[in-house]
Amino acid sequence: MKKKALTLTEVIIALSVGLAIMVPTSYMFANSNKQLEKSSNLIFAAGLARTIISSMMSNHTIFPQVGNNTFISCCDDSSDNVYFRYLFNLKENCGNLKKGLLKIGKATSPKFYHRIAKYDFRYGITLAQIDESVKSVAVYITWKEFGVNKNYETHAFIVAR
Amino acid sequence: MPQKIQQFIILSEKILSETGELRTRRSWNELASVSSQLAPHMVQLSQGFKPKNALLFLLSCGNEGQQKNSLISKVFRKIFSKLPNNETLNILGSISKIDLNGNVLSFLYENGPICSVAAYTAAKLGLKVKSDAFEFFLSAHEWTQDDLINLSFLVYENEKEDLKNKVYNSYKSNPTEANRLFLNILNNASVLQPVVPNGMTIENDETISNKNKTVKHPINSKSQVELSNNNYKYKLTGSSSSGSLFPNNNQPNNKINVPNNTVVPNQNIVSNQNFVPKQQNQQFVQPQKLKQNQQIPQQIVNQPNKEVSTVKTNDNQNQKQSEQQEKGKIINDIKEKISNLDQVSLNLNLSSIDIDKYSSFFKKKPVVISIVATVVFIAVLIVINTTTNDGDNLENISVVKPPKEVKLPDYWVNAVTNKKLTPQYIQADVDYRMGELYLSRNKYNEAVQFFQMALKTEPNHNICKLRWGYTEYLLGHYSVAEKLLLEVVKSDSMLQCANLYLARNYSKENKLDEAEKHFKKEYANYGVLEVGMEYANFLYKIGKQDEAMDFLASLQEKFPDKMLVLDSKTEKFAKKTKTKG
Repeated sequence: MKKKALTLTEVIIALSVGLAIMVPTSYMFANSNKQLEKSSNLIFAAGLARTIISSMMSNHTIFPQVGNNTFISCCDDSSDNVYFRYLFNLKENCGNLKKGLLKIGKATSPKFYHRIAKYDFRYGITLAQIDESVKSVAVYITWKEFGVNKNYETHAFIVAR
Repeated sequence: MPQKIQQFIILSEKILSETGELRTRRSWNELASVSSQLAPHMVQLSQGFKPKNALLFLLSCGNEGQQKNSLISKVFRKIFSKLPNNETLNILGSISKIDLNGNVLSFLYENGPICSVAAYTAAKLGLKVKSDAFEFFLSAHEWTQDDLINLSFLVYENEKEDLKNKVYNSYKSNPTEANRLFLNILNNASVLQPVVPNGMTIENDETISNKNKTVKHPINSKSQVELSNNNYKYKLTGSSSSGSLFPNNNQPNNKINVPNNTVVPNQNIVSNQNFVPKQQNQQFVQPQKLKQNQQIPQQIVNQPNKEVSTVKTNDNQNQKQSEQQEKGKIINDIKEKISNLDQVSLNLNLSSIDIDKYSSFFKKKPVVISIVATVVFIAVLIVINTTTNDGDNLENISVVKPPKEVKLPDYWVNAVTNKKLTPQYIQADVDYRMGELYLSRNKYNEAVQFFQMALKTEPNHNICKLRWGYTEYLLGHYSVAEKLLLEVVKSDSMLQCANLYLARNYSKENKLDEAEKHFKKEYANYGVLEVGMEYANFLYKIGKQDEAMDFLASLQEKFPDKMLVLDSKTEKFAKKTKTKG
């Protein structure tokens, strides 16, 4: 049996209905992906800040000397940058260096490195202290996501043992 | 005996009012019992009853055999004197398909309204016939378009293509109008339900007497043939052919070879001579050539049967008229399409058969297309989304390493609070924290120095200003503290402790109304118990004991797990002020 072809009106209606469904759906997909990335970054930043603070509390003799408003890239694992190695290779930097100890870096943790590099995660630490008894520490994690410079900060008082 | 007949009639009416398959209805067993008692008088009774009652009687009497079959075929002829209504169709539906094929399809070889009714009924009952039989049906007599449409419903779906080819070949060798139309119907017709033959109406047994029924011949509307149920004008001739779907010898085309696989009807279809129409005496006018009837005027299609309409009520008439008009429009449309097709389209249609397989998909048109397009689009999005999910894709790791040092941005956005954070703020924050350290050691002057340094770097550091104001309050510089704290409250009235410090400061300055206002505000902002208690004590202290007690009661209600009492110093202070007064 032969059937009628589609008329222009029907095609227009079909396209309109399709578009009406597609536009919000595509927006939803794009937006959900964005939100996922944003929350992943925030979780990562919070984790990083907590790691820095806890490492400072446990090894309070080693304090990074960060200049005013200096933010160091987490990707920088060169020898002159102790912080990256300090953060991610704690044992190596605590004075008990052993041969063959695994170093966490680009080669060993590519996904981890990729996230840090892609969003340009940086950290900055400011320290306020009157004497050795108590120190006020602030850790700032900064990154750039979807054209916006983001920041996460946390504070702690480190009391001498 | 008369009582039994009466009982049978009552039961037959009762069973017809019930629903479901005939043999499973509640009254069936009772009816069958009465019918079996009347079985010896089968011949007389089946002729005396109304057609539907007669059929019910024959179906339920349980007496099988040649005689019963012959009686059933007689009843069928009676039934086909008019278009069967739903009730009759329901009864017919309970007969086995083999019996129906044998009894109904034989009428397709006969000319006139009975053929139209048989085609319509067969289509309604969903009977199917092998494709070989259609060649014989079509060559038996002239066919109307409606009958051919109904005939097309008898084709098995899987044999449709085969039938098209057969009819096409037949048309090439013998180009008859019926072949051409039937082929066009098979190729083009989009009728979903059997059509009521032109000029006929489905009548209700209850409203129209069978005796006065007239049927107009579809082709020649003037040739009205009386088909009174009780007084048939057909004359009886000799025995018919048996064992095939072929018409009896009186039919126009009686020299046809029947293939072996053709449906073989019941041998007793027309065994009783009384019901075989004699061609010489047949009162139907031969249908006119369809070419003359190709363009049927709208009026004829839409015109209701006047004789019938006089019997019906006005409501029924209007309803039927509108239904008929709709049907007429559809039929006319199809007829026009069919009649407009020429030989070229006939050939083209055969080549377009494959398209038909997919055409039903596009019946729902825009909605279906939209849904399909949307599903495809979403699938593409999912694929793109998963392939570009950088976090999980190791291939995309070749990201350029960020530079060691970058120029600091003007500001960052706090990922938690969404507030702006400037590099100056971070710098000022170190001094502020130094001030806090000194404040914690009660070194207020040093603290004030650091607070001032921080505010020099970042004047919008509200917390720093608040703590400076509080330090000034602790130092007893109430006017300085008031100024600083007012600035803080002005810029951020929701900052925690800002209203509390201001209230305390006002209290020290003896600005009791202002102090009360800010205590109230602080408590309203955060609802902290300690602030509430301080407020209650303040109220008691300034002589608003009743208000203080009421507020304390409300606090107690809010924090039932706490034992709330006013400060003893407050009570002493209040007593002192009372005695002085």
